[in-house]
This record gives sequence, structure tokens and C-alpha cells, in this order.
Amino acid sequence: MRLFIGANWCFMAAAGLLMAGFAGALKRSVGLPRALKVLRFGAAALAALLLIRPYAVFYRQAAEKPVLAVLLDASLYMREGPAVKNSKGTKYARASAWLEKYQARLRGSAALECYAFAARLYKLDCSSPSAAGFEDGLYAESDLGRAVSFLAGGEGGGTAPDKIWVLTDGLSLSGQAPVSPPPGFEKRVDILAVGETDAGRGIAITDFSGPPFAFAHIPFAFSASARFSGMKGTRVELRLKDAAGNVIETRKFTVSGQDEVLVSSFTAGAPSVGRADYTLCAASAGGSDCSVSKTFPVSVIREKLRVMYLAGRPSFEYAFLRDYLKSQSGIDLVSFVILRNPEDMPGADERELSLIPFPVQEIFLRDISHFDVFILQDFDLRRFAPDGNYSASLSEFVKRGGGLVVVGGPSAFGGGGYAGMEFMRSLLPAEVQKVPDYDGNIEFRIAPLEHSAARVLSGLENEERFWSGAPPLKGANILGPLKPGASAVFHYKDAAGTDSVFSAVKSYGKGRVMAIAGPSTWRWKLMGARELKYSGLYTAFWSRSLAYLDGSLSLDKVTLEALPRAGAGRAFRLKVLNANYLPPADSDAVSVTAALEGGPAAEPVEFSAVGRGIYETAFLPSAKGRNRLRVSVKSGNSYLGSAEAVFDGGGAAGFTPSDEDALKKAAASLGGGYYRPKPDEGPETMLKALPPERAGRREASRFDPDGSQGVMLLAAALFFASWVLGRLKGLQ
Amino acid sequence: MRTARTVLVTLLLACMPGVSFCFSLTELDLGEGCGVADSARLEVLKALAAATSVDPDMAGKKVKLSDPALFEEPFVVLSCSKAPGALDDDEARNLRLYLSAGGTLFANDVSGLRKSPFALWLNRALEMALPGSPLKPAAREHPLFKSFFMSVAPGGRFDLERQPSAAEYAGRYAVIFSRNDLLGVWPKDALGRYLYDPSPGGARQRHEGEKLTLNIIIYALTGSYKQDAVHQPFIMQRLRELDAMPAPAKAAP
Repeated sequence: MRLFIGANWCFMAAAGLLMAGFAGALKRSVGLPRALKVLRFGAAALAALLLIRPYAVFYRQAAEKPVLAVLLDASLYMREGPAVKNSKGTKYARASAWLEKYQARLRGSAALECYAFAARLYKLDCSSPSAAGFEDGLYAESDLGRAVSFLAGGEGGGTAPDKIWVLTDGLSLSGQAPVSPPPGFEKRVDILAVGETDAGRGIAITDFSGPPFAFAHIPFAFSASARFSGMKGTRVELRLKDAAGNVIETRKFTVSGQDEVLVSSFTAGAPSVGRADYTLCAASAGGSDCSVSKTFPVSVIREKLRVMYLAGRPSFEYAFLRDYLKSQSGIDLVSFVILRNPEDMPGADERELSLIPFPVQEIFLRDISHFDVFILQDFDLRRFAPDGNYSASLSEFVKRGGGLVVVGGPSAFGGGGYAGMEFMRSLLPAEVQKVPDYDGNIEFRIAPLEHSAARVLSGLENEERFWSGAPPLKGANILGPLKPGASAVFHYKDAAGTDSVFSAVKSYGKGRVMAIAGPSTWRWKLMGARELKYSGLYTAFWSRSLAYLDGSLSLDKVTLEALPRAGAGRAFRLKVLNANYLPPADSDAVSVTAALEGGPAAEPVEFSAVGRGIYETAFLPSAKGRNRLRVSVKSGNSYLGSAEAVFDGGGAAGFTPSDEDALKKAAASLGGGYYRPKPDEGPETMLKALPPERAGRREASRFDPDGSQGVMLLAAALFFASWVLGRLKGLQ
Repeated sequence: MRTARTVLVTLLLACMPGVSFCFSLTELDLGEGCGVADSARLEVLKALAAATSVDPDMAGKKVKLSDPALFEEPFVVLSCSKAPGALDDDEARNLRLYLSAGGTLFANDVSGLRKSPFALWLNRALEMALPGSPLKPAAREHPLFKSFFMSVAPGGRFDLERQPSAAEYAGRYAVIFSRNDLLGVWPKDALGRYLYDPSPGGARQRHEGEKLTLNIIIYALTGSYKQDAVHQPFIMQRLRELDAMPAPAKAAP
């Protein structure tokens, strides 16, 4: 038996005051018969007792059932697409039907509580755990860690459960960090797998991911996992291939289990800038064909542009261009200029010269591969190899993805004997004369042609007028006709009106070559200083030319990629590069504007930043049929670019197998059991893991004076006896 | 037709040596008291052509500060024995634009005076044109002193300073000023004899003056290239180390 007080502190205080007041009054009542005093005190005490509402509870011994919380995963994966191939019911419907069917049996063994969880936790009626009523989290992934922590904290409305069963397909757990149990909650969470797996014999790539951006020349890693089912004892390989199908790395394994997931990592390096597709191929060892493959695109960007600049003689072109290249934080420059030729006579002792031997071997044969762009200005290669042999090295450099700029001058092109060098001749985008072709007196203004490298300045109102008023250049090699596959970038007309190529480009192997006919672009900087609109022309020209040569111009500053997603929901990743083709920093002030078109009105879409230059979003299509996601990106007030994705918002969601690997990992990290009950299989196996019933007590009866007739009669009797005795003693 | 014209032009060019000049010693024309003697100019350019791979233009050129043609000459010489007239606003603006856009001014004091009116004028002109970039003695380790020759001793017609002064703008010497009359060591008479004897060092002082003159020109044509040469081994080493990071092992497809 236990005694309880039902009144609050106000009534307790009132009862105390009542008894104190009555005791004072009795003390002042001199001559009152003792028996009457006793009767009156008894009545007052009874009144005070009723004020504080005491009651007594009587218990008897009884067993107590463990509390079992059943959590239904209500993620979009569970609620869309069939649980089994070629069926209609969703995984959630399958799980809730199982719970509904066996809830009576569960109640027989446990105190049952039912919940659904997605982004949040929802209390369910265990007898009808349908999906209605929690639309807010309908198309979210589920957060198991949050749901378990919520229940472990007793925030579900009752005491913390003794056991939690999680019915899930594990797709929300795929690729996530393992869920840790809350403190003191180890071994209390069991995972019950829902939905069919792809457990048939075969290979499936379960993960292949890498960095969205990677720096050229710097190795980067891919993580990969593949599932091998029914292949115990088989030797298998995971191969990483580049876009050309060349195998970069191979990992060999022997499958040791009937259903085994093999995890590996690969390292790759991209020699040049641009989009690079890498493919993971899983196959039986020795077989050349892939059983399955998956491709991952990487945007290869430049950490720093490595430029080798060789000039055949000192010149203002060299001084200005070197100064510009040195001033760019994104450029590592190594430059050499031939100050003196063997026939020059300095008129001083050799020891008075500050000259160093030109390291021609090192540059052309040893170190050339360390560079991205090679600038050769007014350079006569025959001075260092009579047959122009080093041009073969240049040819190989470009073939492997390097950029080559050949700038004119008296010792370049025809004057440099390029026509007689087989490799040089094949590299150049224009034919070269076999005789000196440099005219130092020709003065001309260039005009752009239709080419991405010619779009030097954006937003020009009248491009023709701009270029016709630009500072004139002076001196050029007269280039011959363009070669097949080459494109002119800028052209000019000489005094006689003859149209000539000023700059032209050509792809060669994986690289690009640009020929610039004249070494006087410095005039744009010096002469352009007098007019504001031309003050940026020099840097814009060279910046654009280098971006073209190193492949940066082929990179879109804004790209949109669809992410793999189950169900009707869609997810996209937006990759953004700033004006220098680098992932933007905070100072770039990138703003993303996106809208989804498809329904009656365009709906705004919000992208969340998930990394430097990486933004992601997920949403439901506006309407069945054609949907279009449009994205526009700005950096401050400057437009960076836009992208769009068109997709079909209709179609029924397809079957997505549950991720058994993720489920097993979650069960292991939570310390609980892992089960895969069949639809018609009862919960007996799992119930065995429930803690036993506890020895407890159950309320047998209670005595509450407030509602007791005996107490009422006693009070009446006390008052009546007191009245009778008073009358007998002659009191009024 | 076009090919024939191209061939004709190139043949003409092949027969006209000297049209491919990449440097001319252009005078900044500020009137009376300033100018470079033809003999000095020719001797400088002949020495430049003989010692280096530069093909100089021997013709004399003059530009005024108000002349747009100033901006076609990235290197100008101002050699004066007395102070020119004060610059007006347009001239000061042009000088500022010229120097800040990459132009180089070589100022040569012919007066031989310690308190030279030309030096005072130049300081005032630079206060207007490049405020914040006053003339200071050039640093001995600067590439100016090793752009072609190792210039280790004072040179010039006079011996008023150990090294020239310079005004630095955007990391380069935009103005180089010699009080020792560097151009005074060059001129010769018709018989090939030097017009002036450098004092007190004589022939050695002349030789150092010649070396420094050519160094100034090569500096204007190559910038701080020689400074790069010091750093290049380190840059190359860093690139090699970066590329030596673990690279993927190649395997046969």
C-alpha cells in the first residue's frame, strides 16, 4: 500500500491554517467540557483531512511487458515504387500491412507503440498504420538516427522503449555515415528489412563516386563498391577506365561469400582541363568485357596554369607579356629569353656577362611535360638543333594535351625555317612560307572571327566599331592558307586590302596550337592606356587565349547534373566555376536563381550549397509529362552562365531493391539484430530477442476519503454528537 | 593572285635586312637643353646590336609628351644639361599614363652638377606624374645590374653617384635616372676618338658606363627576367615534386 496526497499546496496550506485556527479557538474556550472539545477537534481534523485529499493505493504482485516501439520508414524510397519486381504495393504498404496483421500478436508479448519516420517522427495507430497524415515528410529521405534519439530520450510520449524495430529498405542509409546508438541504448534497435534485394547471381555496382571537381596534374580518388552474389570462390576484378577506355587501375579479389560487397578505392590523375568521364568496370578476372559498369563525370580544373615562355630575343612583347603572366596568381611561369647569339660580340670578358647557358635539353626533353602551355615567340629552333629536332618534342607535348602558342617575329614561321621542320609544320594551323615572311612595317587593326577564343570582351555594344578603333598592331609574319581543320580567330587587312590571318588555332592530338602572326600585342596595353575602353584589351586577349589553349574554355562555368534518385522525386547537382574557371570562394558572391517549369506556373527551386562550387536540390516534378529546370548563376553582378535540365515527371516509379549492405551495417553499428521477415512470416523470431517481462506490481484497489460514504457519515456523526452534547450541557 | 602577292612581299622582305627592328632609342623631346647626340645614339645601338640578339633601329626618333606617338615607344630617353620647361597638366597626365601602362623613361643628366637643375625638375615632374613613386637609389641586387652584364662599379662620364636612381611602379623600374651622364661615354668624333674622357676613372669608368647603358636597355626589353633566373630552379623543383606525387599505376587495357 502507498499513500498519496491529492491536493496542491494551496489546499495543504488552508488545511494547516484551519487546524491552527481551531487549536487557538479551543485554547481560548475556557470551561468547555473536555468531551465536547474532543468532538469538535475531531470534526475540524476531518475537515482538514478532506482538504488535503489523501488517498491510499493497494497493490498486488504482477509481471510487466517490455515496451516495443515499431518504426516504419516513411522515406520517399519506401513510399514509391514496388517492394517486389512487377508488383504494385509499395514497401511502406507492405511493412504497414505486416504490422497491422501481427499487431495483436505483438501486443500479446509487448507494450506496443507504433511510429513512422522520415525527416520527422510521427505517432501511428498500430491497428491502422497507413501512410496518411504526415505529408510534410513525404518526399524526404528518412533520418533513422534522429528518430532513435528522439525515442531514446523518452520524447515519444511514454517511457523509453525496451526495444525498437525499424522496418526499412535501407535506401536512405546508403552512402551515409553509420548510425550510432544513443548512450545506454546499445543493442536495443533491430533492423527488419523491407523489400526485395537483387540477391540473384550476378554483379552490381553499388557505389562509384569521386570528387565533382579535380585539379589537373593532382591525383584524386574514387571510392567504389560492387556486390557479388552467388559467386563464392570466383576471382573478380574492379577496373577504373578513362574516357578513352584505357584501364587506369585494376583491383583483383576472390569472392569469399555467397553475397559479398567488395569495397575499393582508386586514384586517377587528369593531365588536362575539361570534363573527364571515368568508368568503373566490374568483371570476372581475366575477362576483357565488363559485366557491369558505371560512369562518373569529373570537371577537371586548373589549380595553377604552368606556362613555359621562350623568346628568341629581348623585345617589348616579351617584357609586357612576361610582366602580365608574372602578375597572375593562377600562373606559374618559367621563361627564358635568348639575350645573345653565338655570333654576337659583347666587347667584354665573358666573365662580365650575367648570361647562363640556355638549358635547351632540359626544357625540350626533360621538363616540357611539367607545363600546360608553351609559348614560343620569335624563336629560331634551328639555332639549337640544325634539323629543328626539338619540334618533335613540342609535337609530343601538344599531342598529349598541352597548349602551344607560336608568336611571330623575324625569327619565327618563315624566318625560323618552320616550313622545313616536319613536326613544326604539322603542328601549325596555317601554311608557312619557306622564306622569311616577317614584315616589320606593316600596321594593321585586327577583327574577330566566329570563334570562342575571339570573344575577348563580353557585352560590347558595337563590336565592329570597337575593333576598328583599337590601337593598331605593327609587324607580322605573313601566314599562308589555313590547314584543314584549323580555324582563324582574328584576321586583318593590309594597306593593299589583302585579308590575312592574324591568329589561328588547330587541335593536335589532345592539345591545341595557336599561331599569332605578330609580336606587337603590347601596343594594346601601352597605346590602350590613353582610352579607357581599350585599357583592358591586352589582358583580356591573353587571358582568353590561354583559357582556350589549356582547355578551360571548353569547361562550362555552370553545369547541371541529375543525381540518381528512386521514385518520382528528382535531385540535381549544380557545379559552378568562377570567371577564372575555379570553384568560387565566398568573395565571388555567387547567387543561384532556379525555376521549375511544367505546371501552370513556374515554381522557384532552392539549391543548397554542399561544397565549394557545388549546390544540390531535390523536389517533386511540377506536373506529369515534360518538366524543365532552368538555372541561372551570377557572381556579384556578373552573369556566369545558365543551364537547364528537361525530364519527364510522369511515369510510375520503378523497382529499387533494398540496400541490404546498408541495412546490415546499420544493424551492426546500432548493435541490434538484422532480420528479413517474409510477408507471411510472423514476428516470433524477432520476439525472442525481446527482453523478458519484468517482475512488477499492479494496483489492486484504492481508498479515497473524498469519495467515501463512511467518511461522510463520520463527519455528520461528529457534528451531531457535538450538537447533542452541547445541548445537554446547556450551551447555546 | 594572292599567293603571288604574298611571295612578292616575302621576297622583298628577304632582300631588306633591317626592317625587323625591335628596339629604337627614341628621345623624349622637351626642347632646348635636352637631346641625345647622334653619335652617342649610334654608338649605343651599334654596341647593342653587336653584343646582344637585339636588332636595333638606327634611325633617330623624337616624341613629345603631348604626342600620341609617345605610346608607340615603350622606351624613351631624356638626356638634359638643364631643366626643361615645367610640364602642363596634359603632359603630366600623359607621362603618368605612359609610365603606369608599362613605358620606361631613361633620364640622363649631362650637367655633371651635384645640385643639378635637371634633377630638381625630374623630381618635380615625377611628383606630378607618379606621386608615391619618388626616385631612390637603385638596389644593388636589382636585375638592372645584371640584365646582360654584371655591372659592379659606377660608370659614366662623371662619378657623382654609386648607382643610378629609379622610380618603381607596379614592381618595375619605370624611371631610371643617371647623374653620371651614362650617354656621355659613347659619342665619338669623325676619326673615331671619344669626345669625352670619363673622370676620374678613365677607360674603366667608360666601360662600366657602357655596360650599364646596355643593361638599362635590356632591362626595358626583358623586365626582371634575371630575377626569374634565380628563382627558376626552385620553381622547377617544386613542379617536379608536385608531379612526383603518387600517380596511378598504368595497366594494359
